[in-house]
Amino acid sequence: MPGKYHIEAKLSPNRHRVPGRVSLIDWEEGCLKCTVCVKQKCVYGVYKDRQIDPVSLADTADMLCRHCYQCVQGCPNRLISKSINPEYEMMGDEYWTPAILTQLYNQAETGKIPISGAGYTGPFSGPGFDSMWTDMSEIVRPTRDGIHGREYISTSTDLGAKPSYLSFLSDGSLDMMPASFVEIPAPFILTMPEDRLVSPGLSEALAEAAADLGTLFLNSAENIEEGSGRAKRHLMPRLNKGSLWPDLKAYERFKVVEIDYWPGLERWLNVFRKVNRHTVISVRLPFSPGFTGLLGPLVEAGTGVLHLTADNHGRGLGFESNSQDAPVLIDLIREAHFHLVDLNIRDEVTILISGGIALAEHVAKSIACGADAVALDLALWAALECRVCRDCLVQKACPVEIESSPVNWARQRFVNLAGAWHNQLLEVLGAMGLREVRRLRGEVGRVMFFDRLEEESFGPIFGRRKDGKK
Amino acid sequence: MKPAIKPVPSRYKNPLSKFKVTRANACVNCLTCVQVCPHGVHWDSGGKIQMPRDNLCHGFACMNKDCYCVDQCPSRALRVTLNPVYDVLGDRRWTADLLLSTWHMAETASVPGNNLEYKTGDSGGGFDRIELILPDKKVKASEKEKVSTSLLLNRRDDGRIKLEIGLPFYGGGMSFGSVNLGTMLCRARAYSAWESLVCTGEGGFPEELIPYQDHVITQVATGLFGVREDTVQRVPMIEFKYAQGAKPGLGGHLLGDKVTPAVARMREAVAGNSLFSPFPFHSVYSIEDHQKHIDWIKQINPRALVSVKVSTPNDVDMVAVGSYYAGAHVIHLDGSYGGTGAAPDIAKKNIAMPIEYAIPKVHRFLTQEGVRDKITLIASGGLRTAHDVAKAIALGADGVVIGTADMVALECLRCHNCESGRGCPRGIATTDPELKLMLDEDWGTQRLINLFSCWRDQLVGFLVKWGMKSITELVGRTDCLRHLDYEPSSEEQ
Repeated sequence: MPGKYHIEAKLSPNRHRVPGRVSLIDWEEGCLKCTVCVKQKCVYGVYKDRQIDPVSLADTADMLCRHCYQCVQGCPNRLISKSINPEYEMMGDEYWTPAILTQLYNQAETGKIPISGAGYTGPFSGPGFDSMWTDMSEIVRPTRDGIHGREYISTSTDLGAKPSYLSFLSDGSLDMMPASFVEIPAPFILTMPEDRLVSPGLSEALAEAAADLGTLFLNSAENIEEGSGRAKRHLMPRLNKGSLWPDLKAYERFKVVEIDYWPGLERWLNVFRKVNRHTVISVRLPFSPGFTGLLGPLVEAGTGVLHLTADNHGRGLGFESNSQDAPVLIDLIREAHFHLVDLNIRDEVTILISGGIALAEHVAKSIACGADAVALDLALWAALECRVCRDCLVQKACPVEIESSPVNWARQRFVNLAGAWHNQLLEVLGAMGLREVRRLRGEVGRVMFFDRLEEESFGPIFGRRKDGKK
Repeated sequence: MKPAIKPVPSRYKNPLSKFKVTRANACVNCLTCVQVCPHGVHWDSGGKIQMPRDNLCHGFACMNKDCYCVDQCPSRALRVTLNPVYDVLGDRRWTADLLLSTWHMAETASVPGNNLEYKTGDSGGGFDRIELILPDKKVKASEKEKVSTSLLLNRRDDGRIKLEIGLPFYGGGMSFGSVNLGTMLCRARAYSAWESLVCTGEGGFPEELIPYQDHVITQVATGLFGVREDTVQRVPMIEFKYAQGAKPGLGGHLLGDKVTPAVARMREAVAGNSLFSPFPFHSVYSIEDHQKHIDWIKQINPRALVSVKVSTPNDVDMVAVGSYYAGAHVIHLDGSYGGTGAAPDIAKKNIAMPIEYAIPKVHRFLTQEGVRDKITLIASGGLRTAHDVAKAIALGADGVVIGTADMVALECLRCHNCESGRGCPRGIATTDPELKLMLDEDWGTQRLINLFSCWRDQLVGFLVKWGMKSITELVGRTDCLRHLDYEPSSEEQ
C-alpha cells in the first residue's frame, strides 16, 4: 500500500485581530460591587487580563468571548449586554461572507477542520453550490474508515491527456505520441487571484507551499524564475500570445504550462507539441457564452487540461445579464463535462476550474459536477487574512498588509488551509463510500440537487413552484 | 394521566428578551406600573418595586394603550427599547424568536403572547416555507379532551409488546459523556411523565436511569459503547444507529476532554482518550447482515421492539424498505439539518438530504410496497416546534424525535461550544464536575414537561380544527399543508 498523503499542519497565528460577530456592551456605571462579580465567574476567563488591544484599539473580551451570556444574564444590575459588531458585518461581500472568511482564517491558523456543536445554523438552500447536497451510504458498501482508519482514501488526480486507446505500428512500436500527464496528490493547485494585491514574497510563499503539498503553483510567466530549486519543479507558468519565449523547447523543464486562449490557438498547439512532447498544455478560457463550442477542437489539438474560469462569485463571465443572473459553476461545470462526454472525449482531457471556490465543500461539489481539479485563488488570499474589501483594487493600502506577509508564515498558512480542506474532502468521500476522488468526477448520482429533490418529493404534493422550477 | 404543569422561570436573574425595560432613578416606587401592566413585567415584593421581567414585555404593541407603562408612569421613569441582545441571538434555523418562545413555553407551558414567531424559523426552505392550512374555528376545551395524541410503535403482529407512547414524539439519543447525567435524568423523567420514551445515545446506560427503564431506549451504535446483555434486556425498545443526520457517514467522536473517569467507566475505555465510534457497522455490509443484527437483539430481549435509525441518503427509501423486511418495528430517519452533538460543519450543511424531502419519499415508497401500515415511520433532524411536528406527520411520518428543542428548553442558547474544552457553559452538554452543577434536575424536568405540554396542546388544537380525533389521522394528509413557494392549488384560489 502506498504511503498515506498527509499534510502537516502547524499553528500559524493570525497577524491581525479577527473581528467577532458580537461585541460586548459593558456599562460600568451603576456597578453594585457584588462580592463575587459575574465577570469573575466567566467560564472562558474573558475578563481576566482584559484590555484594549494596542494595535486595533479593540476590546480583548470580544476576541475571547464564546457567547454563553452568563454575564449578561447574571449581572444583578443588568450592566452587561451584547450587540452586533458592525466591523464584522462589513467584512467581505454577499458571497465571501464574514462567516466564510473567519472560518478560513481559523483553518489557515490551525489547519483544523471547522467543527461545532448543536446542528446546522444556515439557510435551507441557496444559489449555486448551496443548492446541492452530497450523498452518503448507509450500510452496503465495503469497509471504509474515513480519516481515522486503516484504509486510505486516495485524493490523487491526473492533469493531462489520456488517450482512449493505444495504436501500434506493424513492428509493435507505438504509433502515437506518448500520453503525458502529471499526478497531483490532491485535486487542487495553487494560484494567485487575478485582481488582488500580489508581491514577490507571496509568489515565493506559494511556490514553496506548492512544493510542500506536492501540487503545482500556477503563476504568470514573468515571475516564474523566483522560488527555490525545490519549488521550481512545482511551477506551472501561465503564458499568453504576447509573452511566448522564442524557443519553445525551453518550456520542456515545466511539467505543465498554461496558455490563455486565443482564436486559432489550435495551430500553435500543434507546433508546440511537435517541439515539446512531454509538457502538458493547459488552455485557459473563461466560462463565457458559447464556451462549449471551443472545447472539442482544443482537445483535438492536444490540449491536456482545460482551465475554465469563473468570477470570484462562481458565476460565468461575459454573460449579458451580468453577475447576479449569470450561470453558476455547478451548471457550467456540468455543461462542460457532459459536452465532452457527448463527444466521447471526456477522458482525453482534464477539466480544471477556478473562481468562487470559497469552501472545502466547493471542491467536492465541483468534482461531482464534472471537474477533475480546482485552482485555489482568492481562498488562499483569505488564508492570509484578506478581508475581500477590494481596497487593493483602487490602490488603497491593504488593511491586513498582505503584501508584507512573511514568506514562511504565508507558506504555512497555505499549507494549513490545504490540509483542512483535504481532510474535509476525505470526510465527504468517506461518507459516500468512495475510496478515490477520481471516481467522484462527474458522479452526479452521488449528489442531490435542490431542483430535483423539490420536484421528486414536493412536486406530487404541492404542484408547481412559483419560480418556474419544476 | 397528564403530568402537572408548574411555572419554572429562568435560572438566571435576567432572562433574555426581545424588549428591554429600563427604570430610571426617578422612580418613586408608586407601583402604578405594577397595576397597569397586564403581562406581569412589573412586580413588587413587599411594596418595593423589583427589576422588571423583560421577557414578558409585549413592547411597542402596548403603545397608545392604557396599559403602556411608559406613558402611565407619573414620574416618567420607564423606557422600553429593543434589546440589542435580540439582534445577536439565534440563527436562520433557530431564530431569536424561536429561542425566546421555546424558553417561554418551557417556563409557562403556553405559547408566547408577545408577537414572537413561535411557529417557524427563517431558513427560507423546507418546513420554514410550509404552512398548516388551519380552518378558522374556535376550539372548545371539551373537544380537546376527546383527542388522542398516542402513537402505537409496534404494528407487526409478532407477539412483542404493543408499545404505545402518549405523545407523537420521543427523545433522541444523547449519550452520557456528550451530555451531563443530570440532563439525561431531566429528559428521562419528563418523557416518563408523558408516557413517552427517551434514547440513551451511545454512551451506556447509567444506573440512575434504571427507575425510568420502561421509558428508555437503549441505543446500539457502531462503537457498541455500553451495550451489554442487561442494558438490552431492561428496555422496551432498542435502537440501532446506523448513521445520524448531523454527520451522516462519519461516525461519532467524543473528544478526550469529555472522557472523564465516570464516562470512561461507563464506556469501558480509558479516561482522557478520544473515543471514536466508527462508521459503518463493520459487521453489516448487506441487508442480510442487518437482519442478523436485528435477530440478535430480538433473541436477547424477546419482548422489545427494534428501531433502526438511519440518515437520509438518495436511496433512503430502499433502506427503509430493507429495514422493514429485516424485521424492524420502527424506521427512524434522521435528516441532515438537526443534531445536537459536535460535527464537522461541512457534514452538517452538506451531507444527506433535509428531512422534509425524505419523509414523503419514504412514506410513498413504503405505501407502494404495501408495508406502510406494518412499520412506524419516525422523522427527526431539525424539528423545532409543534408546527414542525404537525408538518412532518402530515408529510407522512407517524411521529418524530426531538433533540435540540429539549436542550433549548433547558436554556441552551446554541452557542455551539458543546464540543470544546470543558463543554457546555450552561451545564447541559458537559461532564465537567463544576459546570454540571449549573443544571438542577427538578428545574429541568419541569421545563421539559411544560414544553411537551404546550406542544401537545397546540397539536390537539390543530387536530380539533381539522376535525380529527387522533394524531394518527394526520399521517400523510398533505392536503393540510401549503408551500409558500408553490402555485396555490385550485381550491385555495
